[in-house]
Amino acid sequence: MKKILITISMLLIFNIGYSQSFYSNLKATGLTCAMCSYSTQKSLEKLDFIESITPDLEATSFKLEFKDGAFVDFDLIQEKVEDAGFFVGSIEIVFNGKLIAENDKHILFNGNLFHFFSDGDKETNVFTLVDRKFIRKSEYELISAKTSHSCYETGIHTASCCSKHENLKSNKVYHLKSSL
Amino acid sequence: MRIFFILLLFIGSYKISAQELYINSEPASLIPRGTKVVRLINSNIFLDGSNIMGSIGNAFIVTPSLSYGLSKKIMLSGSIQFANKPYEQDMMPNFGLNGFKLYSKQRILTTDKQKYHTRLSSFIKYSYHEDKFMKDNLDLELQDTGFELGLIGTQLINKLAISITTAVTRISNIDEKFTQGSTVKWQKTNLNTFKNSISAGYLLFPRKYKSYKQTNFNLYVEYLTNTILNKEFPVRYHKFTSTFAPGIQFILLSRSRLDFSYKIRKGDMPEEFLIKLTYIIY
Repeated sequence: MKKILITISMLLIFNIGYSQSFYSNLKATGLTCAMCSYSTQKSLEKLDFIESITPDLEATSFKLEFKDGAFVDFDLIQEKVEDAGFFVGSIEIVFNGKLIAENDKHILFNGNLFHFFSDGDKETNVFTLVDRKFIRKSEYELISAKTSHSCYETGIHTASCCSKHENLKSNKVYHLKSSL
Repeated sequence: MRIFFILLLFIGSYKISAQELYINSEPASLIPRGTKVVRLINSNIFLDGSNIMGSIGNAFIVTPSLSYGLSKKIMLSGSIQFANKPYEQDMMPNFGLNGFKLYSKQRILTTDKQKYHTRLSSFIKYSYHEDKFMKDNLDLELQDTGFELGLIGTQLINKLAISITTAVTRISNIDEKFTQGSTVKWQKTNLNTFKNSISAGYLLFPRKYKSYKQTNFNLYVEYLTNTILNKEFPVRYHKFTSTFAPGIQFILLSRSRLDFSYKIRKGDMPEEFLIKLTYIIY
């Protein structure tokens, strides 16, 4: 029964126009020169789930496109930026179709599980990664107070916290807030 | 010294990009983890024609070095020095190995925001050199033997990057004359010094970053000082010495650097021209 439900919900997700693909805009901080950006890019290139990196040197940001079907580990992205000696300012996730993100809704995109936080039900395709490591402490505490889900604290998906999802490539769950 | 402050004011008053890939001092930032940086430094110290007695020509020094980013917090570096013997006319060949250096830099603190960052690192250096080129000068980087322990702070605010290095050194290859009755003996002794430097740099070209292929052109000014801490020291040394070093830098294809710097030492010390080639292996 559960399998059928999941299949139906998956079909719904695809049919509503939630395309499974997304890309990221990574904003790095502390970079002052093209050499620094190049080092960061070289460090990011070591991640096998990244398909392509397009830098914006003036804005010190990188557009990251991911390999189809690969699990995107944002913790590793952060690690690679820090290996190069810099920091992640913010990570934006841009879906290629607009979606309505209800609060505490989970959506599986290409094997990546996202948990949405929303103040309203606005339709958008641009979200910001709001997991603890990627935002300021004050922001984290603000969001943390509003959710009862323990996965926001742990970053780990469990059946007791969130609804059961199958075919997950990782037990990590990333949390997104609409950038509107 | 005055030129330095004028330049600082100039840098501070215009919206220009800061650069912290200093030529004559290390920045507080480290090289990325797992990368190797290969360097080739050529120094020409103008002994001849100035007031250096007994020299038969300029000192010509070549220093290849290799750095490695062990982790995001530790960087290791080693170099060997080849040089001529500017005081020995009959020595053949006149060019050969003269010393080595070992260096390690550790990241202590780093805070980054969009247009603002603070970095603090500590470093330890050991230098060994066989011959001195400037007999009346102390320079652990080029010609002396000993340990150096220091702190580097680099601060970027509104596109102005300033780095300050402060260090203590123990130089152990000091020749000192002792008289015992009628016999005169030379003996090796130690001197402790306190080193400080301030460096600033800015990007002149390109005005807008578009691609990694753009050649960057940077200007630098650096001011380095050295103070002997011992109460007594051989008279040929000065208690306080300073060096003013302007420089230019080209960054090619975002992975190699070509630096030129001219060191002007205070007092009667010889001047020096330095060329530095850097290549990053990812």
